[in-house]
Amino acid sequence: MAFKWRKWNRAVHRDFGYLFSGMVLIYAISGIAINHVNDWNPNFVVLTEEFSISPPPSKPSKAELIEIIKIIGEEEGYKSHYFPEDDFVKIFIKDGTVFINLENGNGLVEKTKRRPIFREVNYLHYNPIKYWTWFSDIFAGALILLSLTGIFIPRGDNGISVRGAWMVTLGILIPIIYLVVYFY
Amino acid sequence: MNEYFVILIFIAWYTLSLIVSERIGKRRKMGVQWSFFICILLSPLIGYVITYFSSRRLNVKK
Repeated sequence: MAFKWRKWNRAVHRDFGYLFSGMVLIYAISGIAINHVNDWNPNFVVLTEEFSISPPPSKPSKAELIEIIKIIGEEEGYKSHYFPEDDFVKIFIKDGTVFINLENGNGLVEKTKRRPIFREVNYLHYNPIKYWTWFSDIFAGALILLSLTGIFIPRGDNGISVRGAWMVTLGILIPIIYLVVYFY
Repeated sequence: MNEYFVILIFIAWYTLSLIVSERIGKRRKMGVQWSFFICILLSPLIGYVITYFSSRRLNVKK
């Protein structure tokens, strides 16, 4: 019986496509997030809110600062504080920081909130543990296999000899052009 | 146990499961899908034994 390589090629492509579809999404989503790390923080949402108080006559004590942050409802979250300058206080609260200018009474509260999904996929993208590295290596190998098996699935005019040939060439040319322009 | 060993087991596990299900499973009543599922879940060896001794399908297309 002749070896039907196309049948096995299709089976491998199909199974690996199914098995690693979740991994493709994980790496694709976190890839986009990390590509734009200069524009946003993919792990946390930073929320800021301005407020103002009447400037205190003297350097406020801890109890007074807790009274002040009652305005923004953060008195329960107080952790610590310090004065980077005489007229400026920085108060650390749960999941954030409060900045108050003691001279004019202007304040800013900055709170961070975990960004769902992106935080998890970024964690996985950075290969946090040895066993995850093993699995992601298998995934990387599977991607190579998916690419090679995928090339040989269509037949006829849509196959590698016609449409596939110039599409594959284009896909190889794009990174080569980038390398020639920016790298060499 | 190192990484290469795990990768080798993964490749062997999948390849053997595929072969058992495509070669033997398709000639059995359980079919390719159940045979493959059992092989992946329980190991290709156990899958092979279960598939081999399961009842045969009549009039299988070659």
